Amino acid sequence: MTAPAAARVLALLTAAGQRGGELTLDEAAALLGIPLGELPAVLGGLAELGAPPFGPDDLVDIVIEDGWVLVQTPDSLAPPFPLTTLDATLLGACLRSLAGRQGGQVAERLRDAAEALEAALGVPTATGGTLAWASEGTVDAGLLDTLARAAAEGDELEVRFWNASRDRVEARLLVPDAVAQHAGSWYLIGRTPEGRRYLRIDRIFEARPSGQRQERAEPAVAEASVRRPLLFNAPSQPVRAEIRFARGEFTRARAWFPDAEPLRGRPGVLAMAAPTGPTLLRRLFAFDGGWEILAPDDLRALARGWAGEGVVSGESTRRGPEDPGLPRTAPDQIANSLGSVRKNSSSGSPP
Amino acid sequence: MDPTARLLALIALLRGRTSPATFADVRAALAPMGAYPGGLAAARRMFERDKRALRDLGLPLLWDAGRQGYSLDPARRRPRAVPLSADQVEAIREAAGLAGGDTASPVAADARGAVERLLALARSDVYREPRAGFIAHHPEREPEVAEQIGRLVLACRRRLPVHFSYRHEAGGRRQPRRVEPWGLFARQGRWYLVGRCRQRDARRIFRVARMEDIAVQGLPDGPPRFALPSGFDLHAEANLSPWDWRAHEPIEAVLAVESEVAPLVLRALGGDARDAGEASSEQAPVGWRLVVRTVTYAAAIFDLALAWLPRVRPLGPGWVAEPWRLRMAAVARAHALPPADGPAGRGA
Repeated sequence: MTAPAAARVLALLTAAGQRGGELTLDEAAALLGIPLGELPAVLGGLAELGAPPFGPDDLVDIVIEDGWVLVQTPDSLAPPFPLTTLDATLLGACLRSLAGRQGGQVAERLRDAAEALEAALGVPTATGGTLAWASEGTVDAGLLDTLARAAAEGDELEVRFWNASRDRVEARLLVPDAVAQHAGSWYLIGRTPEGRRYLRIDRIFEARPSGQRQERAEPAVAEASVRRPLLFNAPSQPVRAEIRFARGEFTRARAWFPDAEPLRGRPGVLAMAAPTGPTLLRRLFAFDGGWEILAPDDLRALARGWAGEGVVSGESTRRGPEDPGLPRTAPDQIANSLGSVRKNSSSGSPP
Repeated sequence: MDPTARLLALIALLRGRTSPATFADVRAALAPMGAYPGGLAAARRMFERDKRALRDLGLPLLWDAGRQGYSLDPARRRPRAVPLSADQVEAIREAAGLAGGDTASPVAADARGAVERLLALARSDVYREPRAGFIAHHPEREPEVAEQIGRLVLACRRRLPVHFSYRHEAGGRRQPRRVEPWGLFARQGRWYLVGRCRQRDARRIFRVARMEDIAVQGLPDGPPRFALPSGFDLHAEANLSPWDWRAHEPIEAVLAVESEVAPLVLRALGGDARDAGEASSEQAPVGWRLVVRTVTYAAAIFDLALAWLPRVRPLGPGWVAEPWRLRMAAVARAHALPPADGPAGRGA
């Protein structure tokens, strides 16, 4: 908790005031920053809050009834309450973080709101703030504006992008619902005949309006589709593979791939699943240790290709006959080098 | 008694009065709830803490010297509408999803509260229903750091040094650290503190999840104990690409990039990334491009190449390219022949 409990109670009273004295249990728990299970006990305590002389009409009346939190406050505690310094710091930090390094109209809109907030509250958030959320990658400002505009208008787009999970460049017609920043990366969320799609904007080459305009999705539906840990539509049939790990690497591999399952009677072998072959291969290549795909054969061939011996997944990837392949290195030299030079990728952490 | 109940009673008391209240008035009015018990000095200290808390809540007490009493700032007692346009309010609401979109975030409740207060104070005639122009969401991966974040936010805001014990990424013994905290940032759901390490006398970044026994040095309402370096910009710091993390002197990293995705990779690298022409047949398959970028943490190029597999290969510096070459060689060798005990070998 970064704000005093009183700030959260005032936020609860404010929200209740906004909604005619009724909050859902989830709303109340979220505003107080407590698990849903603790709500009855905490609200029981809040019912003792009030104003002097603490007669029945001077107390905050909070009850849970039929799945709702019903709140009545004495006049002296009736909202609204002012924005706190922490409110301004938090909201300003969100706006500045989301604007990130971007240019263009989307970032301009965010910075304009941050400046207006600062002007209204007299709290500087431009530089030297306390909190920030990092954004990943670099997105073309013009492209972001195009996508945001299309999402606002419901303009269908023809989008050309690198589909990393299939490792191929694709073109697709899509009705955009929103642009979203998820875990620091910008995404375009839209509908296709096959369902909802999430495209990383930094992997989009270009997007052009097709000239068709469609009905916009409900904002709440679009928002709900983004509020989850991973933005990905799992295919109905994931790729399953059997991977054998080198002796001495198995324990580390189990920690590295917590979702993998050991195969009974097959020492050193893990069964792994992933949405697509390329997705699974990237996870395996990131593991700095000896591993071998035992099955399926096509994934095994793909791994060989990715490592430089001729087979690649991208339909449009070109490889020429002059491809020199990889120099031959003695197995013990490989093992020594892998063990000593670099233990797994780590640029997600500071050096 | 519960400090929250005492603070709210104090707010209610002062909001309901038309004249300033002395400390004695406050103490007498709140006596039925057991506020400010004990001797006068202790009660007075408690009242001073409450004054500070009220200031943080945006409800500072004013001292009326003439009438020797306290009152709430009339401008804040019933705050007027915040002069923001509908679009500005909507942008703030959407952006607040960064902090409040995931209930596991240590600042989620505070962000939601901030939005509620903002909506309550926004003029109803300018605010319209949400339209989801953009959506911000940061999934939280370290929900257990909420308490540490609380202390560090306080230290950052008040410019107070912090002491903590720190565990390195590689493990090993915990080490005590004394740090001037400049700011906190979340990257992919993990929280980091950036500041000056007093032992190293240098800027350092620390993972909050690896800190223990965080102690803030100094009084919360005391004077600042250090100054921010001139030009420090937390947002710029947080948004540095990993290859710009200043871990070493600037060097040129060279990558071979498959030509079709080269425009995207150039954009992803940003900065001075440039197409340096076609890669030679010794460097990459025919038609691939050479991309050059000045970097200060070349190891991050390795991870970039992993994310763009199979279309990017690091070629330099050697201490990044060589492990890459060896890793690829190991995979190629492991898969060169049919598996000894694979499905075919088992007669499957």
